[in-house]
Amino acid sequence: MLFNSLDFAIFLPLVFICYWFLFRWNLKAQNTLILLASYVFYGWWDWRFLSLIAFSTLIDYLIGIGLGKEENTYKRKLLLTISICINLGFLGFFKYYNFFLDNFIDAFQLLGVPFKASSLKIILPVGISFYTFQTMSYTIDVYRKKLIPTHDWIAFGAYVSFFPQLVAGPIERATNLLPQFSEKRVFDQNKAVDGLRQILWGLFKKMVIADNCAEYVNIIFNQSESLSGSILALGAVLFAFQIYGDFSGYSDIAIGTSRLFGFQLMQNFAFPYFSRDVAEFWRRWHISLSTWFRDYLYIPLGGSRSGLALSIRNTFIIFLVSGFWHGANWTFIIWGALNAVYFLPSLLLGKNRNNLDVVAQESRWPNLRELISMLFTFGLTSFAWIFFRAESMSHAWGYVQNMMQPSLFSIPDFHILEGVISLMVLIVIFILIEWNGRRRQYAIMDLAASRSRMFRWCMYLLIILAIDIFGNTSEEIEFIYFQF
Amino acid sequence: MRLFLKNTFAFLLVLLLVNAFLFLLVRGFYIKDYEEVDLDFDEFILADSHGTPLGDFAEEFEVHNFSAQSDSYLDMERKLKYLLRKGKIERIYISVDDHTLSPTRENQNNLDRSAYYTERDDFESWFDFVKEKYLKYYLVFLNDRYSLVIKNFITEELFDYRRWGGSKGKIAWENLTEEERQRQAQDRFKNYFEQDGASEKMMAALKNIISMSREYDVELIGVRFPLSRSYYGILGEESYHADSLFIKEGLRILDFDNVFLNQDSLFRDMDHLDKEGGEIFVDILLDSLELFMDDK
Repeated sequence: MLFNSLDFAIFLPLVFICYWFLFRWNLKAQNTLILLASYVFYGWWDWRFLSLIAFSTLIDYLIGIGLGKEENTYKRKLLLTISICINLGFLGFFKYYNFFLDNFIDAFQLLGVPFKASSLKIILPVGISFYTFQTMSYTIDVYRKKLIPTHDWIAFGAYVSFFPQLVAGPIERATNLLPQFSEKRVFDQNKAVDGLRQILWGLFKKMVIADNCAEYVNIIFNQSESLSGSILALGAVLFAFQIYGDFSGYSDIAIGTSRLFGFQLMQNFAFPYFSRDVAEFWRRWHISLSTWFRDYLYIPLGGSRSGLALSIRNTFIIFLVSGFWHGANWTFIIWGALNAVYFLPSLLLGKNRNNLDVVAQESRWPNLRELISMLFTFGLTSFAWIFFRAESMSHAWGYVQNMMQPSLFSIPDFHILEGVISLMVLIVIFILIEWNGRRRQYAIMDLAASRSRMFRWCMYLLIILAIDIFGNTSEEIEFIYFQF
Repeated sequence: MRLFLKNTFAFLLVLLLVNAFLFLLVRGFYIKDYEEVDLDFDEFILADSHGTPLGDFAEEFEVHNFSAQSDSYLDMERKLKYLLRKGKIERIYISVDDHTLSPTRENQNNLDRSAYYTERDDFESWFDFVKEKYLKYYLVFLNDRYSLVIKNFITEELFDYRRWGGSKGKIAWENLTEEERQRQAQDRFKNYFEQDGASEKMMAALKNIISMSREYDVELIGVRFPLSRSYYGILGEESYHADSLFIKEGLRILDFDNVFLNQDSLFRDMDHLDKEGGEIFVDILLDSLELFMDDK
């Protein structure tokens, strides 16, 4: 079920009403409702893969209990290994089997050894990378004794399959989300209104910004061999806004929906395009994944405390794995590597923790230095997005080659992109709203502070109208991160 | 909770008021003309935008032009049913151009507006009837076409960069260079003929129109509208063959697709006549009909 669908528009109020009117006095009943609703939500896409989530949930639930009882270090390690192998085994099979097979065949052929094997037609279960990492965080935290294992299988099942963030995150740590299933939830008018407001903003980002950018991005990337450098550069910039609007829009809807049910999820995007360097960008982009890799991979590898050489190695590992997590394609690996290269100078100069605060914290507008830093960082990330968006390495390389022509400095021929000017006007308005709200959790959160109900409601109506008029409402377009 | 529900309902009420305001606007410049039909006539022209340049000129010949831009056979079927229910109808002139069975036309239709001409019997269920005839008609937020109408107004009227810097509006078809005419004609061709087969839905609607006409003893005449030379050349033999169905069913076709090949001044674009062209064409069309009737 998609957030931007009529099905969800009916599903959400129904679950909300049952949750707060029928089951508000019984925590277990509320959790059961969330579990059932989550399975319906996921099964709407393909009910066959419910068994996969159910199995993963059961394994980690039982292993969690086992880890809680077991004191023997060897046996504890064994239990953790079983959990990780099963979770990564599923992920590896469904997501990476064909990639490895194809690359083995290519490698053997390069060596002159004939190697024949046929790839399998595997359907990638939606959101598998997200819920796999979520369940793994539970087992690892129980193993590290940071978390007491739960004996409430309904709460645990609801935690793994929690429908607002099931298919595209934020990847919640068990330490944050699981205890919330054990606490009595009381309806809070302010939280619910705030949730609705964040959902509205998420829908705007997805349907107005991302889906409209997608239209032009598809044209530009599909015809990249025949377009001028300046149009290709515009394509990269539009994709930067598409992926931000799409993914952060999803996160906003997920966080807002959770608030309606009394849950607090972590912030997943903190205005990353206002970052002054790449290190800051990665503290603000897909925060739940970056911090997951930091806590469960980077730090166990030694982090930055084991000398410069190991720090560089660990940085590259993190970025390459992060790229590979997104998809079984060399383009994602190169995207990760490129970001590691971008990150390296600040690591070597010890400046990777320079910009920890919000840009122009005390002023309305950035100074020239900040502005140039932000534009430079945005340029670097937009360039890297080309590899992320391209179908293959040859496509990405061809795109970059065609872009780096003298025509890069020509005025783009907008005739082939009818309507792109109005989209650019919308993007400028969007940037200004985001800039204005950059100190908050999401851009229009400040509206809550406005005392005038008339003003607030006018703003909501304007956003709804913008979604209706400029949003692509004729078809339900999937979120990009569903494929990961 | 009570306060939350109270505020939510109040906001929904405001949303309904905004909807009502927008509906009045959309009705004024999008729906109103579509719903105008004179039932005093007994002969009607049913066509898409190829028929609209004929305006009211056919009324001199006691024929009412019931065409509308983007009308598909699905819309024409609804209109025919309406005419059969409400009026006394003897003859229909219907467009059987090469593109009329195109899947593109199936998608670019007027089903939101032609719902006005429907009744409960035209739908399989009450749910579809209420959704199509009332919900999508009155609720601006549920109707994609209404959004598109407002969006086009904003993007093409307010933010059309071609108008910036004082540049003039569209250049007349006859004043375009041959290269530009070819390019535009090619774009139109690609729009209609990008898919191989004819639309099955549209074919079924056209067959329904034919059988309904037979059942109610309405004379059905196919019309092929004039094309410019550039478009005629690019089109060649390409067609979804609505006319072939007419021939197969023994129905008469009046074919005028090459009648104005050397008169670009009568065209608004590659396959649409302008007002003057429409006026001249009505005379030719209805004079031919007299010859046709004499033959009969």
